[in-house]
This record gives sequence, structure tokens and C-alpha cells, in this order.
Amino acid sequence: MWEQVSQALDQSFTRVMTRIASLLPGFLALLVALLVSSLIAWAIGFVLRRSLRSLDFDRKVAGWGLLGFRGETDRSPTDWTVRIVSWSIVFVGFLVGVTAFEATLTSLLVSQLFAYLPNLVAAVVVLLVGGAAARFFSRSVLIGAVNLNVQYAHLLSIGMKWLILVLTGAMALNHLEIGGKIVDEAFAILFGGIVLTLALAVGLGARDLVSRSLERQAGRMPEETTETFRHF
Amino acid sequence: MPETESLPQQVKEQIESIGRADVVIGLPSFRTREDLSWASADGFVGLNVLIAYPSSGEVLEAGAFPSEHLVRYPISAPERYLSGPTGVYGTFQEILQIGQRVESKACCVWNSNPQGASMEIIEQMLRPVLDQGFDLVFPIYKEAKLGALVNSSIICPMTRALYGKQIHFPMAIDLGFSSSLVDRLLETDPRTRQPRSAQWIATEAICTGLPVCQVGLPMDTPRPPDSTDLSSILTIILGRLFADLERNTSYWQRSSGSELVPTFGTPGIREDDAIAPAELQRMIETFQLGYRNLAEIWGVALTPATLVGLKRLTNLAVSQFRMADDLWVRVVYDFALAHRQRAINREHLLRAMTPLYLAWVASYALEMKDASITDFQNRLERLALAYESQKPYLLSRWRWPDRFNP
Repeated sequence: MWEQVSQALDQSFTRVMTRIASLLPGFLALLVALLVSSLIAWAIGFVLRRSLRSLDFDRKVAGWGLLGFRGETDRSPTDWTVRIVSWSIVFVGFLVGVTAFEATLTSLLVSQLFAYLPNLVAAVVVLLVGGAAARFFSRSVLIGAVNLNVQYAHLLSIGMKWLILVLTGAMALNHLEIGGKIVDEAFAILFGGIVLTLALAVGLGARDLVSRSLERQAGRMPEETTETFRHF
Repeated sequence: MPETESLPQQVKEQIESIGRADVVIGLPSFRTREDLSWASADGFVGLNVLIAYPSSGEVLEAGAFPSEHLVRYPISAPERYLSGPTGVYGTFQEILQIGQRVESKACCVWNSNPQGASMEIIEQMLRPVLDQGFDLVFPIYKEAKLGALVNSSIICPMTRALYGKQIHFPMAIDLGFSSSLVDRLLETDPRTRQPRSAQWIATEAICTGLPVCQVGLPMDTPRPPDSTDLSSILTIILGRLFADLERNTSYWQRSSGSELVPTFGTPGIREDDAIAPAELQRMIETFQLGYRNLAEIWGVALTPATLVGLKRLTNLAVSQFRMADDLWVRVVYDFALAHRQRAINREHLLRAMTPLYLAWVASYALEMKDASITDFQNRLERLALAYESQKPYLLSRWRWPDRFNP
């Protein structure tokens, strides 16, 4: 009986080892694919970084008003671009390596991933554009409100920033097909909440200002003009 | 004929039928007949005068001025000097083209309200061109302690320090031109591919080495026509001033000191109203609010030493609120540098300068509260000298923006 047990153990050991041995080329292929894609990513990243620096990309992006202030992030637009491109290449290498394991199983996975890729790209683009727009418009609101001597300028600016960010987040999640109706409803509640908060804050804080402005527009009150200072 | 010709065929035919005219007076802001009630054949004895007015206004009938010497022309909107959404502009292009077509010796473009002009004033503006060979004539409007503050605080002293000419109103939109300057302004600038008249005419003439002069006029500084939004107009004017620094770098980096510009006539003096303390308070509050909220944007443009100076200002009581000339000049120069470097969006940058400008105005108004007109002139002279003495600072930071950052 011990012979039979020993034989069964031998066979199972052999089967496991054979299975492991059959997986080894796949592992090796995955490692090689990752290594090669990392090397390509590094080389392309190096060239891209130098090209973007020679084009003064960081300053141009700053000039478009799409960046935050110094200290808000420790990475420059060049760093971000290089990182995104490099990691995309490594990811493609990973997919190539995974395909080497089991052609039928992994090809299904890869085809599903590729079908999902446009959604992912669209969501990333929406997030990037939304983030930049949030920064640009919140800064515009902040400067405009300060110039009008509005004491709650910072609050207005933050409100504008979060309005755009919430809208952007909801749009990105929609593209990713995550959450379904919950996202729409959560967005409606959050967006409405921010608008209501701002309306209350501005309405209560600037009741007199708004009523004076409305009265002036209705022609009931003369415009407050002064000739003391002539700037032009 | 110039490459930028924009006159319609009908106007060209009318000009051909007129033939030649010695003097062309252009009134782009003309709207109603009352605007030209002062026109008469009495001025400019012995010279043919042609008046050009835009077709957007009323049609003039024969009156004191001969109707055959009146030309209506359509204004092309893009050709606006100091163009901007708020209506701070001057329109030169068509009038200069008419002046060139009739081979005029002198041409006056009166962009501000025509009701403020008269035949005598226009003749005063053009006599230096006709009799003494000047190419460009600037007006000097009535002096007032609290008038034309953007000009007094930035444009006039900065132009003087950088371009070396003491011109009172370098950005005036009422100007007198010689025929040679008209020809030059109608050429297309090879660098910008735009007509030169759309650029800043004062620096164009100075950098070309053309003789310029100024004439004292008995009238207030014209106001911007459509808007009173200080921030928007400041953005347009400073944007043009700073953009011009980039265009003329090679000229202003070589020039040093400044010289008087020949001046004819004496400008009047406008009495200021009493300063309302509430207005001063509001300006200082705007500055303090700006320091609390815009310090990050200012930090992009200003050096740490300048920021420390501004921080000290925020702690001062209203009665002691004074901004030193050197501090103000560094603020202006730092913003000019940040504008050049495109450190952040240019419109954001220039709009963020408004609270700083208001701080200067408040400080200046407090200082000038009981000052005489002589004190006021001396005060502006001191400011202009501060701009000149700080020019090496601008020069160093312009050449080595990263290395020289005190």
C-alpha cells in the first residue's frame, strides 16, 4: 500500500512540477516583456523629457494658466507627461507578457481591457481638462473678487473650484461606467449642495450689496460715482 | 499704396476727386453733428484742410466748413490701438490712409470726445509738424494731483526711465503726425506682420529716432469711452506697455538717463475735489484683502524682499500708510519681468496688480492731501527718478532672471 501511496505522490509531484515547468516560459516571457518595455519606457521618457524641456513646456503650460502655484505640487508638467507616457509603455509590456501565459484566457482579458481603454482615456482627459479648468476659473474668480473688494473672495474661489471638480469627477465616473445611477444622484446632491451653500453665503453676506445693485439697475438709485480719483 | 489698405472703393474715389490736402483731421469718435460744431474754414490759414469722420455717425451737412472737404469712412474694428473689450482704444488706420492718399503734410487723429476739440486746439497740435519739422506731437492735458493716476504712477515715469524721453502722456490717443511718420506707420511690421499703427506709437517713434514734441492743451485728460472697470483697463494698458518692452529690448537696454522733450504752450491746472476718507479706506482694504488672498500669485512675480515690504504696509494704520517709491518701482518692474517670463497666465498676472496699484494711489493721495501744485510736480519728479535709479535692477533681472533674485 505504501508503494501505491508513494507512486501517487510521485505522480502528483511530477504533474505539479510539469505544470510549473510549463508556466516558467510564460513567467520568463512576462519578465522579459516587462524588462524590455521598461527599457523602452526609460529611453522614450529620456528623449521626451529633453524635448519638452527644450520646448520650454513647463513655462508654456504655466502661461496658459493651467497650473497651480509653486509648492502646490512637487512635479512639473514635464514630469507628469513623461510619467504618464512611461507607465503606459510599461503597461503595454505587461499586457504582452500576460498574453504569453495562456493564449485563450489572456486574449479574452486583453480584448476586454482594450475595449475598456477608450473609456479610460476619455476619463483621464476629462479629469486633466477639468482639473486645469478648475484652477483657471477659481483663480479668475479670486482675482476678480479681490479687485471688487469682496471679503469672501477666497470662499467664492473655492466654491468655483469644487463646482468644476465635482462636475469633472462625475463625468469621469460616467465614462468609466462605475457606479451607474448612484453617481448621477450623488452628483446632483453634491452640486446642488455647493450651489446652495454659495448662494446662502453670498446672499447672507452681501444682502445690502445685492439690494443696492438691484436698485441701481432698476433705476431707483443713482450710480455711486466719484470724480476724486481719475485713474486714466 | 500700403499693404494694409482698408478703405472702400467709394471713399477712394471721393478722395481722388478732392485731390490734395495739406492737413487731415480725423475724428474716429464722431457720433452727432454737435461733435463737429467747432469746424470752420478759419483755421490753418492758407492750407487745405480735410476732415475725416466715420460713417457710423450722423451725416454732416454743409455748414461753416465746406462739405467737399468732408470724408465719411467706415472704421474697420480690428485696427484699434490699445484694443480691448472694454473700449479703451484709438483708431488710426483709415485716417492715416486718407492722409497718405491726399499727400497731407500733417495729420491729426483726435480719438477722444470731439466736443473737447476745436480748430485752435488742432492747429496747436499740428503747428510743430508744419512749421518745425516734428514727426509726432503728444498732447499734455490739464495737470491734476489726482488725475491720470495710471499715467503718473506707471506709464509716464517708466517710459521716461526706459526710453529716455520725458513725455507727459506717452499713451495719449490724440496725436499729431507728420507725413513721414504716417508712411512708416502704414507699413507692415516684418516682425509682427501687423500695421505699425496698431502698436504703441510713442515707442515706435522714439526707437526710430524721429523728433517728437508735446503741446500743452487747456483740457482734461480724456476718459475711457465705454467702461469704468479699473482692473480691465489696467490689464489692457499694462499688457501693451510690458509687451512693448519685449519688442524694444535692444533699444531700452542701451539707453540711459532721460532728456526733456520740446514742449509748446502750457497745460492748464485742474482743481481736485476733496479726498473722501471712505474711498482711501476702501483702497487700503482692497490691498490688504489682496495680500491675504493673492500673496501666492504675487509671489510668482515679486521677490521675497518686495513681499516683505508689502507685508509691512499691511500693518500700517491709514494715516501712516505710505508706499516707498523704490518699493513701488520694484513691484512694477517685477510684474513686467513676470509678464515676459509668462510665469502664470498674463491676464491673471496683470489683474492681480490692481490691489497693489490701489495701495500706491492711497499712499500718494495721503501724501498729496495738502500739497501745492509745485509739491505735486516735485513728487512725480521724485517718482520718475526712482524709476531711473532702479533701471539697473530691471536690466539685471531681465538678463539673468534666475541668477539675480534678491
